[in-house]
Amino acid sequence: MLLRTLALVFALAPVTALAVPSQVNVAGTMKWVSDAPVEKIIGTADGKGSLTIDFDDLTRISGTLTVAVDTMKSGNGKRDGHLRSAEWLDAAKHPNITFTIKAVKVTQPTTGDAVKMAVLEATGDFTLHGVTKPLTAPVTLKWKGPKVKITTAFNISLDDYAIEGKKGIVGNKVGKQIAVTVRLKGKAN
Amino acid sequence: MRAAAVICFVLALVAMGVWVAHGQHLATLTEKLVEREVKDEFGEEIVEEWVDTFEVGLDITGPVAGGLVALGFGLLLVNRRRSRRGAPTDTSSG
Repeated sequence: MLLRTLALVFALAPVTALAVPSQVNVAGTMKWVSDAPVEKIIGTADGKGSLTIDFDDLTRISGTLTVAVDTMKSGNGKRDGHLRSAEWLDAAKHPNITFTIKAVKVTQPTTGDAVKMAVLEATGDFTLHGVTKPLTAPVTLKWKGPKVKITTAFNISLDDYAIEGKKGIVGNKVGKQIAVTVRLKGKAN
Repeated sequence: MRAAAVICFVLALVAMGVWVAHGQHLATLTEKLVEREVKDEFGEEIVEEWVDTFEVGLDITGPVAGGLVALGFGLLLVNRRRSRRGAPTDTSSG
């Protein structure tokens, strides 16, 4: 009986090991584009996050991605200062932009051998300028061994997050919608 | 004096020409985001990086051109007043 139990434990061990979700610390860049009638502004910010990923069941992914407002840049120092000021993103009061994943749907199951890839739809709470709203974004997840790469793109409306700026600027010099692309890489522990 | 006014107007036009040639930005860019394709362990991907640049914007060329136009008109006005007073005027521009 003991031998049988031991045999069962050893037989199930690899399965159990695979089923344990991995802790993945990711870091990378968030690119943002404001396409307004008067000017197109392209900028970046540094992003990082801590995710728990079960590579056997991607619907169990959880975690938070964070972008520090202080790291946002657009190629013009004065404009970056305005961007972080109380009139716009108010970095002093709201230093981070966060996305906390609440639910994940697999829209394209895992493919590939050496490099595995899956396309997901992540729904969560997106917090910007101190305002939290639900957000659903398509996510491409690639992994090779312990190395992980996450790509996502979505649009946000400045109106939704109470970002007004100077009167008459939004819609003319700054787009009402901001296109966001996030590319993060990390390693599973 | 009229010649100096004409030079001011021409320089204002040059300033605006430089602005157009630099991409017509509102704000002067000191860094530019450049995309390049790289290959990593996951395949090909696009990587963005900031490179130093100087693309003059309307924040600099606007006041410069405006100032030159104002100076040009000022010089024309002074020239006109002088001619009304009977003082010798500068007609070197032809």
